[in-house]
Amino acid sequence: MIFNLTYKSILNRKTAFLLSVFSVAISVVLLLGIERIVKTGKSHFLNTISETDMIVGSSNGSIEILLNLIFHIGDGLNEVEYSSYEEISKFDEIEWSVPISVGDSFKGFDVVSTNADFFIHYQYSSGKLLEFEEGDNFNDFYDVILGVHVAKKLGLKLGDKVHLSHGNSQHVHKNRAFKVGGILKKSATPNDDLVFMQLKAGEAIHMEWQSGYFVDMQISSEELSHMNIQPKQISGMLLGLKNSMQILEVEDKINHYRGENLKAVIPAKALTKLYKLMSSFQDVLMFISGMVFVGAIFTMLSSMFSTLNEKRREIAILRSLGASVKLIFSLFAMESFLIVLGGIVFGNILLSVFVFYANFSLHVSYLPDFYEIVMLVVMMAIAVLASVIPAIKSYRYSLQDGLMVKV
Amino acid sequence: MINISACQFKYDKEIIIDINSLKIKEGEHLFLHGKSGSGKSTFLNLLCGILEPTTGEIEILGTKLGSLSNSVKDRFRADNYGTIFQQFNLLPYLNVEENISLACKFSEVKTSHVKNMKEEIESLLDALELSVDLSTPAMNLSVGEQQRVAVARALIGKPKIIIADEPTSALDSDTKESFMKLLFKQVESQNSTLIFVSHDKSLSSNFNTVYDFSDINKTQI
Repeated sequence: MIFNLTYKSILNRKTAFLLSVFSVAISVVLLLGIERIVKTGKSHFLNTISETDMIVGSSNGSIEILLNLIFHIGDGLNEVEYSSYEEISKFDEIEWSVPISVGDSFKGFDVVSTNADFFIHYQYSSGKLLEFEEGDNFNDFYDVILGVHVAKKLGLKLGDKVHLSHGNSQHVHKNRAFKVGGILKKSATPNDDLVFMQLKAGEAIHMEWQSGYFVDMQISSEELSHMNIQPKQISGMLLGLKNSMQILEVEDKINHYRGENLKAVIPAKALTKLYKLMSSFQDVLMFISGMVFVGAIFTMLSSMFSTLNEKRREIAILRSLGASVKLIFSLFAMESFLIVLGGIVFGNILLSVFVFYANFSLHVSYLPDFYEIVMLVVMMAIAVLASVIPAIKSYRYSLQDGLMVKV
Repeated sequence: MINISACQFKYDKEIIIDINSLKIKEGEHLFLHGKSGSGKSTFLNLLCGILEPTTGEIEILGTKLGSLSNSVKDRFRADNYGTIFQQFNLLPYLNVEENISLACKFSEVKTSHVKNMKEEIESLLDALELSVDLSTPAMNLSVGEQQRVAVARALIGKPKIIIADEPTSALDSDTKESFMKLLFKQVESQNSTLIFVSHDKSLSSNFNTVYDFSDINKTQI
């Protein structure tokens, strides 16, 4: 009975009803979408680097080390002596080690000098290796490996020749041509935007630069590649332990390393700390989407109020036929319940379609999880509570007007 | 069957209705003449149990309205009344059939008086000389047609009391006459009591009782 009347009444005002449903749906898409993306983004962010027990650099701040060595933002770190690296990597507890040198750039992209071990040991999202779209790990002395964004943006293909520049300056190593030896698959990590070269090659081309001036050493690229050049300094290193139970011991050992001021950073800890710094951003997003929902409720209310005058007559008719005040009240509550229910269903469908077509590099879920369902139930409750306002108004009208509406 | 005694209704401390005594017999056709603003609408609301008198008692069909709870009163109204307003009688989004049968949705008594809903509606509309498709939405009907559908809804289920509040005011004089004729015929065939309120005295000729509302209502407004 209530349902039939509500249904017919809604059918009569399709447009207004659909607009209300749509505005609720939009707010559902925003609220759930942001929540879902933030959640996925968070877990992905916290897994930017995984399975690496320790990142070592020369700085006092763990976040600074993380920013410089993994995210490639920040002002740079003090150098670490290569000899220290060699010594640490020979610690009994260490299973593997990868040296990293940062600070160069190529056409706006950061260059990381390392060795082939980087692609064997660097993992993200709980154990995924960086995979190659084309080509493979360093083979040739002059090989560079490009992150997917670098290759795409600069239009570089496998085998293309590139000239790297020195530091962050405009000095290009014109005489030394590098070749694209590999292009990485998209990992949605900072590696997508990096250029990788071998540490020894980086050291070699830097030999020709002294105090900021180019010194022609009259050596062919071929000869240079066969010279056994060892870097003197690097920016830091990634370490894997044989037994991760020993992490605190090793951390302590590195932090008190006699030669230099080193700091061992446990990635998961530092990432969590870094994420906390950014989480207010997430709160702002959630706040905004919450406001959008409030806006949708007001849209619904205003559309219900705008038809209330017209409804006064209907209320009088129903009252004269013996409809109780309760029924009149339920008619209104029912209508807004349907608007919100419709909005929630439509919003979820919209969101799934959006997630499907947006084709995120992150795996964003199609279905709401428990927390989101709780959110939806709360939205529903708020909407039904809000519908009480026009329902109370209609109740007042029905008492005041009785059978005769003076409109 | 309707017995009103010493009934007063106050709104904001102002007495709007003050009726010493009014008795209406079963099957009576009462014409109540009154100007607008004379408290007619309030009186009808009291009669239907939508408003409660401040003092006094309204007894209808042997039931004291004041003794009923709100929901029982609603049910009482659904069972025993048929109402026609001056206009906007129908829910615009329901069709003719749905509008008429709506009266029975709230009342088992009315429903029990109807054997076959569709046939009953058709014969009522026939008697009211209205030939429209039952599935026509109410909003597509002319005012005259709407008023007849409203009469059919008031009559269906044979309620004991029919209340008509200026039902002809939206009609032109030709339709007015035929409307009155048809209304009377149906009310008589069902033996319902008719309470007809209007400011138009020319309509009163067929009624067996004619009251001036200002004679009944002692309040001077």
